[in-house]
Amino acid sequence: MEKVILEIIKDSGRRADYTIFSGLVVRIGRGYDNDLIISDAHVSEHHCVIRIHEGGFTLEDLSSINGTWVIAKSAEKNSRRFASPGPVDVGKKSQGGKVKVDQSLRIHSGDVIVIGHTRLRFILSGHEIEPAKLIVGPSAFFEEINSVWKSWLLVISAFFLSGAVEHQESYKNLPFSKFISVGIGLMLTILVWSGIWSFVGWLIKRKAYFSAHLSWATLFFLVMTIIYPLADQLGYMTSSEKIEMSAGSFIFWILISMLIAGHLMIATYIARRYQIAVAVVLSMTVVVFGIVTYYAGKAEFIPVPDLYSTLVPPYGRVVPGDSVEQFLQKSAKIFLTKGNGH
Amino acid sequence: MAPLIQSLRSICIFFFLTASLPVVFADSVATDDFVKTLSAIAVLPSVQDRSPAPITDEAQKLYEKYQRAVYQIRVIDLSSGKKSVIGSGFQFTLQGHIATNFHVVSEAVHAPKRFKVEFLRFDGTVGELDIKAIDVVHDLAILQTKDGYSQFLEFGVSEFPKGTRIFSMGNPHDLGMSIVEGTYNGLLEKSLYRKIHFSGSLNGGMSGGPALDYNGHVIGVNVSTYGNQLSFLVPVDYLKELYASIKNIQGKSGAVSNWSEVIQNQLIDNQKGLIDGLVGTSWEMLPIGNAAVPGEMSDLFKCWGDSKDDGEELYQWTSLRCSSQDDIFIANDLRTGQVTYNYIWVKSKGLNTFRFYRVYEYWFSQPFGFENAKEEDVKNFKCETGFVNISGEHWKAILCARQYKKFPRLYDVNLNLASVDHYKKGLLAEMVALGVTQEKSQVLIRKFMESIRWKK
Repeated sequence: MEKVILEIIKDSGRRADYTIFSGLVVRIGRGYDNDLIISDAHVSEHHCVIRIHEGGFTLEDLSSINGTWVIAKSAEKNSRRFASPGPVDVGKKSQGGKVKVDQSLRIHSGDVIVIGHTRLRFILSGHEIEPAKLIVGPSAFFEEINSVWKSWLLVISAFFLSGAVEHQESYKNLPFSKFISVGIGLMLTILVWSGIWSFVGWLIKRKAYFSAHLSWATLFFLVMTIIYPLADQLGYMTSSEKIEMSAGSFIFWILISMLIAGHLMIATYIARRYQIAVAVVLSMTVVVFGIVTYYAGKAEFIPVPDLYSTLVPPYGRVVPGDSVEQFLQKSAKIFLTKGNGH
Repeated sequence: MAPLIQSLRSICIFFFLTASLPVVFADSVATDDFVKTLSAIAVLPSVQDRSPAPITDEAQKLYEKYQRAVYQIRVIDLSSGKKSVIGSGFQFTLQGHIATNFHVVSEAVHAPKRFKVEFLRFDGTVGELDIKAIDVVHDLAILQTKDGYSQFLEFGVSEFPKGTRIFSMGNPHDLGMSIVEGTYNGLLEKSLYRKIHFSGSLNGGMSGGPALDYNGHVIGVNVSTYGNQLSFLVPVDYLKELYASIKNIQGKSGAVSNWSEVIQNQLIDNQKGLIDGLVGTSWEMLPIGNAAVPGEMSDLFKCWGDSKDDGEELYQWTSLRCSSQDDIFIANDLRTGQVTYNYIWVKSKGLNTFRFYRVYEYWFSQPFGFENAKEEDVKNFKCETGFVNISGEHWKAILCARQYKKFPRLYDVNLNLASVDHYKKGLLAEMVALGVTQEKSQVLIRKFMESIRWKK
């Protein structure tokens, strides 16, 4: 015969306590002669009773003062938030997915019984449960990059990439020492950054994972350098500084979030969803701060035009371009001013 | 990269500035200390100005005869009671009409509640003046005193053979009335408006004073100097026109209440003539790089060229800068009426296309200086950016405009173009038109853009 389990659950639906019953009848109430004794001032001495019948279970109300209510398993998911037990409006049959038990009601495994301020989940021992989740350790990816030679390979690539960027931005042939100094500057920054995270990791996990931090920080730099110019391209194609700024901020936000989340994952035991939340909020703060500073720092009066002058090489440009006439028509709006009567 | 290219850019701007001489008005505010130090030598202007022309009897006679008709004009700051600007002026009717430069009395025109205009006569009398008419384009103003003197100057003509001896009177640096002898050197035609080229020394404070022929007839009004005996006079014909205009409206209503409206209309009329003239003619085209671009659109414009091909830098540039010769004074911080355009041809000399575009973008991002106006007078620029197709070539175009606060129909307009079809070369073109209406600026910009040709 199936056993009956009654779980006392919190508002959130999580279990606070449970009791297993194997008899044919489970009496519930505040009195000490019940099978399940509930210390809730709103529960009657003999509040209700669960009985086994052929092919199922019924719940009977024992003329309790505040009544007995059932949230069916299917309704329970949806009504969890607002069906918190409280002073019950006895005038209504059903409230927020709850059904009042008049005499007796058939109940099923998973239904929630509400008496007074107490919620009980009725479960049969054969109730199906979800398969166990895999324990999420430091992910395979981080195990992969926690290797000395891989991390230094990445650092060396970053070293060369920073030199290449410096080369792209110059209009003279730069001396070799310039590339070295830029690369070394970058390397030091990444090493210090990774060092700080390793220290945090050592404090928390007693293990530094320096190579993993180093690889992750370097990857961030590499990806950022390669995909950030997309924002330029997008703004150029649409002739919109706002689009360039939004795309740039978005890329920056996503990448910084990933950077911080990754470091937290390696260095701490924080649950993954908190890692992501912390990373997203932190990076959002950085981005918002940057944008606010940019706009706050803008002078009220700028004596020269603020030209959106981004130009990129004509690879793959598809914009056909307006005629002079169309452009002049579009630009007529720059002459419009409030109360100007145009 | 920025500081390095910035220095490059400033060299270019330096060339531009040295090529176009700065204009200085022949007036200033003299401090008392300055007067004391200079008073010893200032009585004889020809001594201090190292003029090659000796003082002749003619000058002395003219001075004797006409000094009673020449006034010092003072703009008084009402809150402090002190002189804010001084200049000169002269009486030309028996009814007490006095001519001077607009720029001398501009403060009183713009802020009549804060300033008043006074005269100081040869005999030391001080009296109040009303502003009757202004002509901002030619920098003239007609004032009137109820307390006129019996002597006044008569108008003459403003065309003489070059080399004719002429005389200019005024009160330099508040040092006392003076007469300067110099040479008439023709009418300057390459200018927004005609001016007399006067080879003689005008000094601060002489603005608005009369220039006389040997008969004592007014040929022009002192207006500006470039120093070293290079000075300019407003031909008397413009003063005659302005005087005729007040005679026409006389009796209708006395005082003009809204000078801003008057100034705006004068500027609009002036630019209408200028821009219609420009658009109506065919423009000289100049080659630059692979393109042909408008050069001197009319004889109002002068173009200067420059280029750089430095051994170390992996790109070269050639520039053309064209500008109208003059601007119009509206207020101390507001000048307008100028049209300027320039081109920079940039070509890679070993930069790959990405490196080239960094340099190219940098040059494109540098805006014109717009030092003609301050926050009190103009709003912020608004810009429209887009791709434009001009005769089969694609260009990135940015058109910007800012409105004048007191003259809401006028704008400073700025067009920037960058050719974007080529990997290692490009042409940047820029046009600036100061104080134009939306309609006229669009007419000018349309023709400017459509004139640019790319040589295949």
